[in-house]
Amino acid sequence: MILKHIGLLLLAFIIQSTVVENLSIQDIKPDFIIIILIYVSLSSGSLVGVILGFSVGLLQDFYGPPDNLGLNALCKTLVGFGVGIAKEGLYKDSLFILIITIGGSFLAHDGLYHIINSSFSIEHALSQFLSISLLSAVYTIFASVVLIVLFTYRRGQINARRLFPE
Amino acid sequence: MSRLFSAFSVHKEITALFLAVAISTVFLSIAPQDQIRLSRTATVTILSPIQDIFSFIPSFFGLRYENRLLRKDLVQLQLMNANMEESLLENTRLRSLLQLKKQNKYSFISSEVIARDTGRGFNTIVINTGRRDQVKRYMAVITTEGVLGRVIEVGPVSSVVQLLTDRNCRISGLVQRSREQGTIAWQQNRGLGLRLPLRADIRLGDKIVTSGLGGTFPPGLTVGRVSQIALEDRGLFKRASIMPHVDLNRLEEVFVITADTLATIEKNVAIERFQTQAGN
Repeated sequence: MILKHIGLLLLAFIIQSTVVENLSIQDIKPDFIIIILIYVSLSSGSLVGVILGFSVGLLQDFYGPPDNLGLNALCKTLVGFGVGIAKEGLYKDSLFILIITIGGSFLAHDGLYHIINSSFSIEHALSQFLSISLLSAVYTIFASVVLIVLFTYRRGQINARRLFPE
Repeated sequence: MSRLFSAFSVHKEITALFLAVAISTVFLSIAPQDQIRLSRTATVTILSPIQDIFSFIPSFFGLRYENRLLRKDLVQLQLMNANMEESLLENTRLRSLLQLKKQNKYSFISSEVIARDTGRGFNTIVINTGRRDQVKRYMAVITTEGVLGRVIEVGPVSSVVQLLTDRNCRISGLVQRSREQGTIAWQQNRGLGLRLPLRADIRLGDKIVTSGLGGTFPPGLTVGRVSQIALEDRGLFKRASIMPHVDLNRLEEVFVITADTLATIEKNVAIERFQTQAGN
């Protein structure tokens, strides 16, 4: 199970760094890494979410500017932990709950990212958040719905529970 | 001590969270060390073959090959054109240099973009040429449209390029019309800009090119055009916002300007200065 999750995250990273650019609309693009990280955390809990969130975040940082090393690692560690902690309490059968989880996690991740990236300037962070993150969250939610429907649609029904066999 | 260890083992999630946050914070606080740079280069080198395969998905083989040949011809013509424009402007002031400028030749390494920065900004790309192709750190990278950035990490078969949109990428530039010099840098929420003294001669629509100072970028390469001019620092300086000439959303083929070109440029600049002084 862990190997499958590592493979999925690596695949998400490679797709995000190569193909996703062609899906972008005026710098707004979906974040498949967040989608898969949330799936991993909901499936396996907060310990796996922290470790894999830190790892994939660090991988992203290796490809980014040198002075931001550690930023994606920190943000994705916290997302992995937070979603993993909520794993037992969330009603995973509901597509609506999953969408709220993805959207909320994405916005929390981006809020923290922009605050640190702008050296704690609230004005700059808010400007980036409103201009990029809100629309990117919508696009990411749309992409996640497409993926959920793709993997759970059977005989005219969408059952999100199929994503989390226990 | 043993009670501490048993507490950590019971609360593995908290321990892992604490360690991950601590390590991330340390990385954010320190400047990149050689060991970290080595890890970055190794990671990019390992993943670049897979990314190279995936980067084919949105492309068509035949069209890409033809495109590559045409772009190579185009960039050669663009560089020659930039060189001749500079020569024409300089001719009014330094006639004896005209012959020397025409003999300049640029050499470059053609590369493809195989991966992009996956973070919230768009600050770096990965190209499929590296040490094996004679790429070195801090070499300038351009496209058929103009300046793109510079190489910051070099692996055996791939390299990381820092783009103009990275706030740490600073380029010495000048206004082509008035020859006013300044530093071009990216600022958050304000975009690419050129900082100039208050009385500098600059207008909307002026073309901004590289000055050649600093040794990374050859002179005369197009950066962009002035889209806005504003005062800053309580009216002590002007800031010209620049619309980059390069379309960052359509990057496929880029060109790394080699060190031979830079050595030639540096030699020619030194000869220019000597001849100017001898003429005076």
